[in-house]
Amino acid sequence: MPFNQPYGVRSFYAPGHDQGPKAVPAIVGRGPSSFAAYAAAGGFRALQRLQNGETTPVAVLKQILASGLRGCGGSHLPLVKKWEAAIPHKPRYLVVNGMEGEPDTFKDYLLLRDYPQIVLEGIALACRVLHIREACLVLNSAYGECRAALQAVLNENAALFDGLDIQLVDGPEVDLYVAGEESALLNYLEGQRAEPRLKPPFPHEQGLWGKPTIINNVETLSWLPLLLVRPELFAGRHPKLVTLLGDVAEPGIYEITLGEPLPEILQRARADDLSFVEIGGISGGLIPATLTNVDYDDEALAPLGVQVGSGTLRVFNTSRDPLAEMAAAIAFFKTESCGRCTPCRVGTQELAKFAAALRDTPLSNTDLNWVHSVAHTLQQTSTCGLGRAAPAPLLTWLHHFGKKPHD
Amino acid sequence: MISLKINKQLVQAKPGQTLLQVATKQGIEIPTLCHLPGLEARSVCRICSVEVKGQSRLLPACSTVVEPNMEVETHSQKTLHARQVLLEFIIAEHGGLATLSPQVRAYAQTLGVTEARFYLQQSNTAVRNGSDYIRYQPDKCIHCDRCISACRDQRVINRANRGAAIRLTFGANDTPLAQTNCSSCGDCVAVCPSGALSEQG
Repeated sequence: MPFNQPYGVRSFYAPGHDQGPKAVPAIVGRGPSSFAAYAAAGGFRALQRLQNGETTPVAVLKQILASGLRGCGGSHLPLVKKWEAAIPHKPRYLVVNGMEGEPDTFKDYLLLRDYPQIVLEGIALACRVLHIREACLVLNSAYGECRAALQAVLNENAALFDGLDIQLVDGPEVDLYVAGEESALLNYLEGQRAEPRLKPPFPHEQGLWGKPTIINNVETLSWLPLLLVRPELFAGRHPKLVTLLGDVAEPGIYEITLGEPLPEILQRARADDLSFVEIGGISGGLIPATLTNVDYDDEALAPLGVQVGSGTLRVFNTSRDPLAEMAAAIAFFKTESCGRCTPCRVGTQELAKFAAALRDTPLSNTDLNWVHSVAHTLQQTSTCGLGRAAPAPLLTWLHHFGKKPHD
Repeated sequence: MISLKINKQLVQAKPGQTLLQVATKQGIEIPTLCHLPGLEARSVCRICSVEVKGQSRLLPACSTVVEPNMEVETHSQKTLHARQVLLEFIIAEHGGLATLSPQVRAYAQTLGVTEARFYLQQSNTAVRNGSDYIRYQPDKCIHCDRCISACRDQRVINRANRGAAIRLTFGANDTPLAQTNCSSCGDCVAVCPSGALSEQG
């Protein structure tokens, strides 16, 4: 079996590494949900139509490619780009990324826990239209509770999954941020240390075991059944799950439309005391409340130096200190860098030094130039997207909070 | 043959060649550190970063394969600046320029780098004896992966931990040496540019 390399073969992490799995708070889905409606109606309709011959794989593929669906793992690149690049290579494997390594992000967890049938229907649809027989769903090791329900869906609906080999694979036992990077995940599945690979070759050219491989996020594929059965969900709009956490009355996972005004999104979770908000997860940035009157999509957020990313919004009230939050984010990268490439390994340590000292030592002009040089080098020369994103919290802090001295 | 431009000069290359190979043939010197000719490129030090038109970031010349009509700048301001910073990173990690290999010192001189403006706090200084003959000093290591490449067949040398705690281990997960395939061949010591790996008597 190609996916089941037991952890530890060549993981290369020192024994007794002290960090355990990701901590999962009590996560709830809130507000109207297309997933809940589809599940309540029984689900599997999109897959059944394909199975019954009401439609063909070619027609379904066309519908998916024309939908405008974007990768929901964080890149937000149109799915059509990834798939169209991959199809001529005749992809052999589908790897579904359920690592959700971004801290404070639980949208995939909610899908895996509450809608395992939709997740698997999406995987099966992707396999059928791309003519892939072997797929694996890699679960964050903290999400083990979801495994039994996922397996039950596969067992109880064997006819719908006929001819497909869909395996559930546990991610690394310790919480590894970098393992969520798609090529690092391939290394992990091959029993190697979970470090990103050089691209090119891209996974769709040489992926798992050197074979063309498509890697998609759990949420991305979960939208497939919905967009096929309810095309209006994607008619000139793009729905997205966001993780809304922090100093809000009703934290949870919300379904929103990209481009919605950000204040309205924050208000759903009742962010009544809003001082600043972290947009796009830990590799995003902190934005003061005064600047949050924007639309929630990549185009409108770009001038603020942030992105939708994994769809995480962390709200901070007036008792919180943006400098401390920024320093914690940079310290996270210093600890989590896989250490493979020099810019990320050394650069994150150097940035963390300045971030930690900022409270007592304001940056001189010389320091500021150096910090920008270091940040620029990370963005320009790091091997993977995680290293390139690592300076963002410090850069956005300097931009939005840096000029005013903080008490 | 593939036509591309390097530093505005039209050059011909064979499909599959890397930018480093083509530039070297043209007499253009791109500094390298982790690269070992003949072995799989790992592109970890990024010293060979070059600018390719249409790309938003710098690409490593040692592993970037030529494409038709590429326009490459090997010594633009942007690349030189990135190389200077990266070289400072390497010096900072190693703890000084003087004890790095002559090749690295020569690059430093070309790039006008005399020392790093910071040094990393090395938490992990415990010396580990790789075998009866090989010694590893983590505080000198610049993680260029040359030893990992050189040990490719045996795959005895690995990386452990992450972030600031990164270090090399002999054997996956620090398995006892008797259980690894280390034959004390010394290839890793021969390619080490930092002196982190050395022979002991």
